[in-house]
Amino acid sequence: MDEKVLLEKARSGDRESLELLLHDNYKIIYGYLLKLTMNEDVTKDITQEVMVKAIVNIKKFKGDSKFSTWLISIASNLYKDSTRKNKQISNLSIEDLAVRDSQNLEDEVINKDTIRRIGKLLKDFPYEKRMVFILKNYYDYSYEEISTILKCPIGTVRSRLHYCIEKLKSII
Amino acid sequence: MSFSHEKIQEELLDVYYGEKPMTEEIKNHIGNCSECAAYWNKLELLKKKLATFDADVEIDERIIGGAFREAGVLLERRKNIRDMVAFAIIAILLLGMVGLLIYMGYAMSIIVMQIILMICVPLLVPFMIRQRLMKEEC
Repeated sequence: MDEKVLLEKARSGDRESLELLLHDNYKIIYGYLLKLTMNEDVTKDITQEVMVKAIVNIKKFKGDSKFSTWLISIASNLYKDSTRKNKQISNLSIEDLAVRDSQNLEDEVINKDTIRRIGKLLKDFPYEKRMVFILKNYYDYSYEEISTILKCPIGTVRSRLHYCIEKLKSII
Repeated sequence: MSFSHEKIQEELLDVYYGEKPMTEEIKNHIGNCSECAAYWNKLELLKKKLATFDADVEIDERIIGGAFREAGVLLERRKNIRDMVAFAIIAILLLGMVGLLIYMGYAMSIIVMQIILMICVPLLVPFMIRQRLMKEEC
């Protein structure tokens, strides 16, 4: 069913439609938070918090953006809050994260090593920069959308992305 | 790095992320400049490497269910707070009205009315019970 129709139903109190919307966007939110926190337990907690906020405030969502963008925006704010409250939430076990499409053992070893290095570098980025990088690289949001989600100027988005790319280039 | 390389490489990043189109000028520059061509290749390579970091996740229904339960509790709590605020406002208004009437010299009338109400309401109880029973029989 179309997202707009589902949203309309969810706003009028239809639980099934809202559940379907959350179900459809689960992987986006979870994946985004996992890359941000690099900690599965924290990711699960924040994902649930994001969904609680979405359920409670669904009537306030006007539909100006995609539902997933709204959820990403909630997730970003919640992550910022949790980072401020708990300075060190990332105790990454990068090896635990799944490796995609490993063709053979050699590939898997190379991938794991790359993942470990990329993860370590990402973890060292300040969270504002990490958010920009993840949103652009993995979710293909435009500079404008990222600036709306993170409430910062487009120039800042661009410079943060440049910073991340320059750093990441060094490990290749 | 010369200024033009730096500028082109900044633009290349925007092109790489689809924010700007690949112009002929940039294309020609990459064709002729090994430094910028290497930069472009690094970006392509980075894309491949970063793709491996994109782990697939399974949907955990417990998280969605838990969110609905938690939201239910939160909404109920909010409703209770709203009801309590409404009750407090109405109670303050009523008390204020009574206070005003007393101030205006209607204290005796209020006491008489209260006595009448306290006597009449219990007298109405058997009638109300009868009405209720009749309704249930129907």
